[in-house]
Amino acid sequence: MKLSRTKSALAEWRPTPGNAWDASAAAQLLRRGGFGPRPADLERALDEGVDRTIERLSEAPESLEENLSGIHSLLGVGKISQLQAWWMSLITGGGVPLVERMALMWHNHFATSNDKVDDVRMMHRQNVILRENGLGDFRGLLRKLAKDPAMLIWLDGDANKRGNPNENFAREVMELFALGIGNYDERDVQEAARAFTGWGTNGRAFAFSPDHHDTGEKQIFGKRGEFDGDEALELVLNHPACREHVARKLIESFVDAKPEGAAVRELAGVLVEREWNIGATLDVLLRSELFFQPRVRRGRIAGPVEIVAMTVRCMDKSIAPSRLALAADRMGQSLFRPPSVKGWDMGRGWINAGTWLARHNELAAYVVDSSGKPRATLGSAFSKRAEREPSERVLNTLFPDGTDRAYAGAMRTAADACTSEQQALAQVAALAFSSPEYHLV
Amino acid sequence: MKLRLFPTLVSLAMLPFLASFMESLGSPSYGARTETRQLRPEGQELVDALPEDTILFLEGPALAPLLQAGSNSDLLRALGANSSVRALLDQADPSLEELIEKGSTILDTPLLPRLGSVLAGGLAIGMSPGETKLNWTLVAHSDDADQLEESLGRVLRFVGEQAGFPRAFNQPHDTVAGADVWYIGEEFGVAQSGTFLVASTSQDHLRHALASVAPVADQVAQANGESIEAALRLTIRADEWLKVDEGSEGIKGARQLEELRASAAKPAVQFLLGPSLAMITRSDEFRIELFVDGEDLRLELQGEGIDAGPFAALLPKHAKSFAEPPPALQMFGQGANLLVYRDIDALFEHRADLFPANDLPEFAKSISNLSPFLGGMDLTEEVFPGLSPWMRLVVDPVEFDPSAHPAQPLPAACLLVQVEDPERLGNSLVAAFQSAVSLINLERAQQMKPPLLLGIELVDGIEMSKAHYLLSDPKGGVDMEYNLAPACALVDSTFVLGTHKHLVERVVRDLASQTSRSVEVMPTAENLRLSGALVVDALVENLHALVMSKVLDEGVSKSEAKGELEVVIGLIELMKTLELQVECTDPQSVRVELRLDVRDDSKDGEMVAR
Repeated sequence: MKLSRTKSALAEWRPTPGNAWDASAAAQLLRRGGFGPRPADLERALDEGVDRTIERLSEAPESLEENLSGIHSLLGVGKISQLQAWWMSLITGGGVPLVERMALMWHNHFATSNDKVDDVRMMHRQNVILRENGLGDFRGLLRKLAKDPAMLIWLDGDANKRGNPNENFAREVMELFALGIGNYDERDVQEAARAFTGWGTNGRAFAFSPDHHDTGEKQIFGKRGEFDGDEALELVLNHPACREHVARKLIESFVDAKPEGAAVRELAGVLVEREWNIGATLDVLLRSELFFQPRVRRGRIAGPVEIVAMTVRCMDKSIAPSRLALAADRMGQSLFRPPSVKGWDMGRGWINAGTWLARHNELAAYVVDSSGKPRATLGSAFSKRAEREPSERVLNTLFPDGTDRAYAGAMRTAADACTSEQQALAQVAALAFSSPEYHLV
Repeated sequence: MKLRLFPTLVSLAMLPFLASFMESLGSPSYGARTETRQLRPEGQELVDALPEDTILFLEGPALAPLLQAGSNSDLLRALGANSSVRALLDQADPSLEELIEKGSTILDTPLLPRLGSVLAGGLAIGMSPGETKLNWTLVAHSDDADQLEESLGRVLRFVGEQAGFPRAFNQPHDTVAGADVWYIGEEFGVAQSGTFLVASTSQDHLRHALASVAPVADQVAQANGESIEAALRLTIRADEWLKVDEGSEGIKGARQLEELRASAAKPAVQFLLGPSLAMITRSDEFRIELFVDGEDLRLELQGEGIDAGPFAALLPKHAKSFAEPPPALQMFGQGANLLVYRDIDALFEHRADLFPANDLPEFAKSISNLSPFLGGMDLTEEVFPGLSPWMRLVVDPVEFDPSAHPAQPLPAACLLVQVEDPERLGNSLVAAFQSAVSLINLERAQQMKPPLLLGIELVDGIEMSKAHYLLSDPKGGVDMEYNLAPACALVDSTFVLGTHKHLVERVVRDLASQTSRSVEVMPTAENLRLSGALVVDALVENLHALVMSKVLDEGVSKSEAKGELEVVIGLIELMKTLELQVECTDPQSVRVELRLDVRDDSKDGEMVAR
């Protein structure tokens, strides 16, 4: 069901001569809603239009079940690198684009690191929760994660006992997961922590220990009662700030890192109206004028996983998933290992001297070998069209929605200085990877 | 299906195929180089016609019987029916059959028998560095000069037709040492001198070879291989290879060879490969010979001219006074059984002479890490000298409890080592095992993980210390770490340490049952006996995990990965047993013998359980 809205940020976008359904608009949808277009995706999107393109973001590849279950045979080995590679394989094409996009977003939102959990099976189980519930009811997602063993270990649930409550989980639920700073006070955290006492793990399963649970009266957000963990979560979910916190997260991830208050409030209303269903709310957002406004296109710095996935997808390269995961790691995003409970610093936080160099080195490795020679597969990566010169072939692949003339001119000059077509392709691609423009999505 | 198998694995896997191929052709026995019956006048062999600066020789002293029998072999057909062999052959484009058919058409006679005639007296191929490129020279000795001339003429005519110049080779282009010579392109020359066929990518080498064979050009080769066992022989002169300026003369691999030789001086290589195998990398000359004996295929690698330097102290030749080998076990037939020589005492004692300074801190670190477990005993003064360098390692499958069957089941391994002072050192090693379990538990407790439960059990009156992980959540799947249920025991002067208590228990019973243990004859060689079924079972049980690993690590599709692994498994299924012997009685020479007992399912109908 589509909402009919007028004079609002979330009004359904109608292409106009000044803001048409063109390569730029289609690329915006494919990049933000998935992990970028494969070579033929953009032309198909232009043919099929917005509605069908959004539908395709939720379409599963034929081998989805096999792709999802394949990792089960390796979980017992206990290597996080294999789990990272498996998720990378889903992100780059083995999974449903929008589902994986959401799972990645929630992984950063409910950031949990294997560095502390130290259990690949638990990390996998949390990843499954994010994947299966990421587009569903946010309330259900939060309830499931609150009892997820990996989350309980990550936020010291086992240490949260009557008489000696550990506030970690309660604090992060309010600060990061559901409300945001300013919408609660210290007493709310302390009292909620008491409500969560007794929530812990037994092996790899959630376990409630009545002996460790504080049954006394608590006061949370001004309400009094002998709240348990489930009831405390309901109080958090019913807090007016929760819907806006989630809405803000969606806009920050899909549209604009600095959303306007009105847009957030409007989307929060949609969220409640859609029974907290993230997928239905996102459907409104992805069709909105807010999403398609030219100002926000290519206005966000891509994260390492995004940039690696987009590069191999647009070049249609088949690279071992373990290498892709390692590349993202070197660029500063090691899946299942966020640096803190706050997740990764997005936007400008992705870039420093080390990660910028890593971005160049890792992406350039797809076009040149270790001795700097162009790779033999370059010709197929940058599909040949009779009328195109090497620089055009590369730019057409890496920037299917186009670049400005000055940029294209600089690339043409670089290609002209090369002595062979292969060298020109590699040179232009390596230059593009080094340019800030390429890292904006 | 495009297969990308590890080259070494493919080579290994192809050996049974070659063995059966030769056996199927009713090949005669082939003799080593020193025993080769002279087919030419005394003192002259085909390799003598090759250039003096040749660094790699490949000889086929008696290929003729193999080729003449052609494909009329039951075993060859049986091997061809093996899906893995078939898959490998199918990769060739054009196929082997197509090549043979094409060759037969060109020669207007069946290819393999004709090749048998051309190579009746053997074949020698040499590789030597040239000014700007690598040069190859070939010399073959035929049993029929007329047939050789006819065959060469047909081949040259075919080459001319393919090049668009059908009459280009009607007449020889040159005469050298009385032999007609034809040039293909500017560098490749081919010539016939009586019963000899000579070809080279260097005109100088061609002239040298023709001059060498000219005096005996009228000698007719006789394909009588009854006293010859070596079907193929490869000789590599590593010392000469290393003198070649890599790159400028078209020779590759000198740098890798240098790195390989340098690797012998790494502590990890010495420990894992052992002193003899590590030293073979330093040979000036390698000789590899392939033998066929019934259903056995034997590969011998001989390394000569080794400069072991201070590493000689680690070789069995210098074994210390206490070098008693662990008793042989009666129980094993399914798994692997190794007798290895690792003189840890000498390794630590001479470490400063053997290894570069930056490796030495690791020795100090290992002493520091191990010492706390041994109750104050000095490792280098009291522990290592009391351990015999001869050690036995056995590997066998494990029967896991169904409730704790790991998702990736692995065979168990068990190490047997003799201790000089069982009362003190032997019991200290048992105590060290128990201390190690305690330390592991301390760390696991900090990680909130289930502990290793330590226990002691009497096995035929002998105390066995054992430990196993407590399984906390079998519903979620049993992890790979549950393969580890370590145990140890001291049986007389033999210390037994294994990864799984069931195997240690069997070893202890075996040792305990040896009431009158005979004094073991001092071994002279390290050896390994490995059952193909053990490897196949381990691969089959872990197939899903291996497939997924390949998918994630190599970027291949699941079906490709599965197909490749099934080919490997199929090839290993051909092998009943593998035996490896490494012998180094002289520090300058190491001999490695690999013997494969090839499975012939068509004969006994035995099938490997999949």
